[in-house]
Amino acid sequence: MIGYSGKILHVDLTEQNSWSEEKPEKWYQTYIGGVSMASRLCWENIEVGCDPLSPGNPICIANGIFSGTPVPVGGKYGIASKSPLTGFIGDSLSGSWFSVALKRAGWDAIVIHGAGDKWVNLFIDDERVHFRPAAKLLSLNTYETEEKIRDILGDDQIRSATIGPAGEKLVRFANVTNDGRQAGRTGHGAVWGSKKLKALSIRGTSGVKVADPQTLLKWAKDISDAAQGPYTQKYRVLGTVSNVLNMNRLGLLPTRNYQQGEFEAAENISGEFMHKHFKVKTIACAQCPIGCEQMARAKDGPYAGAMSGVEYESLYALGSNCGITDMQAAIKLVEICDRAGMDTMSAGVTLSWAIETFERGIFTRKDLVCDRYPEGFDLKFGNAEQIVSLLEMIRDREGLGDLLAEGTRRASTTIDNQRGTTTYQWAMNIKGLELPGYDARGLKTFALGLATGVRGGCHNRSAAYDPDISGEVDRFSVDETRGVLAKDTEEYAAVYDTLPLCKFIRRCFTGQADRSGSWPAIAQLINATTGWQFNEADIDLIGERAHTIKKAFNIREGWTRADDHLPYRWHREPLPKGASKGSLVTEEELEYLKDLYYAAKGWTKDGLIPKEKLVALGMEDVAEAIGV
Amino acid sequence: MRVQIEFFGISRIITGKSHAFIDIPDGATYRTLVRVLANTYPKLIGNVIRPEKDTLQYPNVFHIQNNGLIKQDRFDLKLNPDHQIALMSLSAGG
Repeated sequence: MIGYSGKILHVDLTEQNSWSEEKPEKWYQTYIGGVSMASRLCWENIEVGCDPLSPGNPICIANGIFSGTPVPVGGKYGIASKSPLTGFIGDSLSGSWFSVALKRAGWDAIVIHGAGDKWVNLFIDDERVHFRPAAKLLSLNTYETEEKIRDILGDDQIRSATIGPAGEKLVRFANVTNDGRQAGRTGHGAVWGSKKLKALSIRGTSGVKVADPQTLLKWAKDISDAAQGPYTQKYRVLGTVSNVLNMNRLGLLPTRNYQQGEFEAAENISGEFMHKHFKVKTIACAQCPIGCEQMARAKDGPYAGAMSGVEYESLYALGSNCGITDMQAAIKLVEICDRAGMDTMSAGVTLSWAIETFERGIFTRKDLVCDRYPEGFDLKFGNAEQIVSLLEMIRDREGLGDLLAEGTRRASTTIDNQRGTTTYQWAMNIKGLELPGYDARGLKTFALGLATGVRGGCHNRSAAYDPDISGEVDRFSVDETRGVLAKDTEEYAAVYDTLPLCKFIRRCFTGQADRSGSWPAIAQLINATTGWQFNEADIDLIGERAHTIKKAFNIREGWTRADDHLPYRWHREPLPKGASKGSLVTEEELEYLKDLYYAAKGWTKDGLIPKEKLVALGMEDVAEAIGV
Repeated sequence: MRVQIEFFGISRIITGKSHAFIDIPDGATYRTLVRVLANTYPKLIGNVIRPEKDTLQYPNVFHIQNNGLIKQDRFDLKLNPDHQIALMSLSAGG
């Protein structure tokens, strides 16, 4: 096989041993890499029904097919486990040098089983596996951990994926960080922490072979040239933070725990404002000619010196959604999350739930009493000092932070059971995963994509906001086309997440981002890497298979149609003002949309997958397990 | 007539302005507006306005408050001084 090593590394942290597995080429052609391969490995290796924080939940890392090759934006990997937030598949992507090191070490994927009784830094040195004690790394933040490992091992070429203090404390939305990038969502950091895995370090010294280097190099140059032009300029100059003013204009910017869709101080926390006053540089991932990460630094005041890469999703969650009007405070909040190793989105939406619960009189100052704050403190939207304090308490699981570290679904359930309240009505999550930065009351195709999303409330797996925001469809109404739209946009995204390729490159193949514009090029890239003979139909199958294996995982873990839901607020409270004033998604609309979506997928009315569908996708064993 | 246009995203960075007042003949369309913007702010050409100067470069669009997006297929819509126009650069993800 070319383009892959053909080897999957298995590591058992309980027994401290390892072994290599080989899979047939057909398996690779079915699952490719990234989130699809990682999810398939999770399907194969998990103890069904296990607690996500138990030894039976494996960590599955699958590299990208293009990692370590000249293909632009191809240096990425996927990771999958059962999510501690949702209890369903938790798949994430990260990128940059860690994936290149993994390819050069000669492994296509890694599966980590069991759990250690002492903290460990797993070090993969080409084909050798070392279980190194991690006592000296504990309590270090994510960046410090990577640096310390290089220092201890005496090699600055070693790349590490690490957890921070939040992962050590099993904060349910803790993430995994490498090279300043995050496998951000669904709580991988907590899974690693439950196994006492502080860091996974890799040194890879081999070259990377491909089938047709000349074709690959030609494509790489053409794509790189296009990536310097207008198709990616918005990312290079401003990054995704330009969405703050866009979403505010459309009345869709989550504000004060999604109570509103317009924020009066949007200009103060906008990407344009950040660019003018606080941007210090842009950073690119490995293999990336675009360079989209906007590094911003607070200049003065109580947060002077705080610096982090700021994306739109972080900025809405810790900015407008918490009522924060000070960009420097927002940068500080992002920095706390990045260093602690926490998902900025889940952190921000959990904070906003807590603030609203306080402002409604359910939480009081007494609830905020802890060792650090023996008098407690109040919580108010927009009060940066209070919000910084509470975020640090979450990181440390101190006082109320211990409850909030469980995420909005568990926190609201606990409080409502204890106090007879209804805080679930403003717990903004889907399947337990906190929502992204688009208020889907005004984006009805996207509402469907979010509700049916296999990893929960996620904008990245469902690209269904595209037809809504672009005006291809009426975003305020529903019709019979939305099921197919949600299916098509989701499977389109799944292709990119499986290769993986960064979606920001999507126009750089031919100028058109749609399937006809990108699939022929992607097929040629795969064929030049592996020597296979993929065509456009095969690329379509990549996306459908990736989504289906994740859906199958969820069904086996107990998913039912009722799990495809929207938050209470989106059903009952219309947006009060702005360009999307008056809009919401009724329960009847959602059920109608779900019917359309399941039919478009070829599933039953209950959202289950017919056996023949799974067999047709090459998933015979999955058909036996969960097919109907 | 005079119309006000707000600049978001790349157009704000390029023009250095958050908004501008544009004098434009009565009865002009959004297509005319594109040409006037290209002549007034030539640096928008290429990145925001296509070189032909009669349409916007993807992913830039006009948005009229309470009216919706004005994309290329609606560029023959006549301008109205009451329109609150934004020149936006739409992007996804983040």
